[in-house]
Amino acid sequence: MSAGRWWLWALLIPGVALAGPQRVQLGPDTYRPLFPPAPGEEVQTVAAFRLDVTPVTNAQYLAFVKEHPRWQRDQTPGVFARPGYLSHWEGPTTLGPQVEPRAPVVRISWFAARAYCQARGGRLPTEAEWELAAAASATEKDARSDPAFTRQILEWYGQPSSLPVGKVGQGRPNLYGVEDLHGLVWEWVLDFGNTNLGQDSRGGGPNAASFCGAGASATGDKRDYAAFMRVAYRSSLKANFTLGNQGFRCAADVAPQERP
Amino acid sequence: MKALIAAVWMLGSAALAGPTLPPDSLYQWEGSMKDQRGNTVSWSVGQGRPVLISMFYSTCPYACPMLISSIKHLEKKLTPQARAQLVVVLVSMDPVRDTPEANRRMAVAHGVDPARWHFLQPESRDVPEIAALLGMTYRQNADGSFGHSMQVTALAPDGTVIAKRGTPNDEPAELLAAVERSAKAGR
Repeated sequence: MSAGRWWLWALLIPGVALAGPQRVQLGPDTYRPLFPPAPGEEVQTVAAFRLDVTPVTNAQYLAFVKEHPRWQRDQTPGVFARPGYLSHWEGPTTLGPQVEPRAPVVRISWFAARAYCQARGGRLPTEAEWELAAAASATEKDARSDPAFTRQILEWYGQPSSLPVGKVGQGRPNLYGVEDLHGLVWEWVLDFGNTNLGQDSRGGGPNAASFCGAGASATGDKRDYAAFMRVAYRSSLKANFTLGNQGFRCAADVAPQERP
Repeated sequence: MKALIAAVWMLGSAALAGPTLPPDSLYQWEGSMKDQRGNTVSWSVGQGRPVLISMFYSTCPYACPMLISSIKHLEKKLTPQARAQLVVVLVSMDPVRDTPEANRRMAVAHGVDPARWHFLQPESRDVPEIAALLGMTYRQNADGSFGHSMQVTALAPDGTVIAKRGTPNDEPAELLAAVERSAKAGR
């Protein structure tokens, strides 16, 4: 290759970065859900799984919609994504100068996030998996009783969401090597709507005992107000919502023979 | 690899129905299912007619039998003309156990009209999507039972949502009126 073509390499490098997200393996482990779904399930087992190190970026999602035109914003029916879907992009297949390619993709529905993960050989993480990963600080597996850790999360929750979303991978990885679980965007989980579901379908309805004072005092761990915020947030979502501060990352199963 | 991508893309395209459906029609989603006769069908089996749709699981001890009898009660309150048109679609949230045979037994046990009632076994991977489309929540407990919500959704002939009933105890007037209207429009 002639020296005059050095810039070709500069074009290739972002291509390598897009090749696929890095995934790390977590679990098997146990998880204490904020609302135990049934007596005897105060502690749940989480099988070994893989989780993307960072949320899916605009550039990665752009590559996906180019391969799958039915997920371009002008072709996706409203039943799968409300009209705000990817509305911050310049066009259906262009980000435009205002959109940072390395920032998490937002204005994305659950259906769209799910389709992306399936196309990449994965799936959305379950709430238990996401919360297990998100409980870790840089030094502790379960930092939820560390006031500095929870204060930082709650401070982020208190910030106005109109601020532009920063690039992924700029913060400190947690103990598992996972980044940006707190501080950039809220993230879709597979079972986002089931948080408040009681142990069975009898009486009261699923949300009857789950909210406000009654809900907070019924939770498993009263210190974890940040997790309670997430539960409340998730339970307010519908699968075709396309909110400006919500992105996602993918997970994948670990085959039984590969499990530690 | 390219062939695989193409195959996945084509399957994906097939899963989205044609341009005649409104953007918010639930029939925009099309997964393959088995009915209680073992035939492969789409969940849009009721397309062109008024539909009541919900989810169930056949080993459900309490809530699902109640849900099914409540839909039978709803049916009885319809005019004979609307009832003749109504299609009832019940999608299993437990497709591992709810095989066509199990579902056929359910249909017989409840004494429902097998021409208008469809008990469907979806692909396991599609259950979260079906629940999301219907706005239902469900969760498998450690003992294998399910916790689930009990909405019944009324669909117009084009698959758009025209009414919902949250629980079997809710006043059904709105749901019944919506079914009557779309039955009348369809005649």
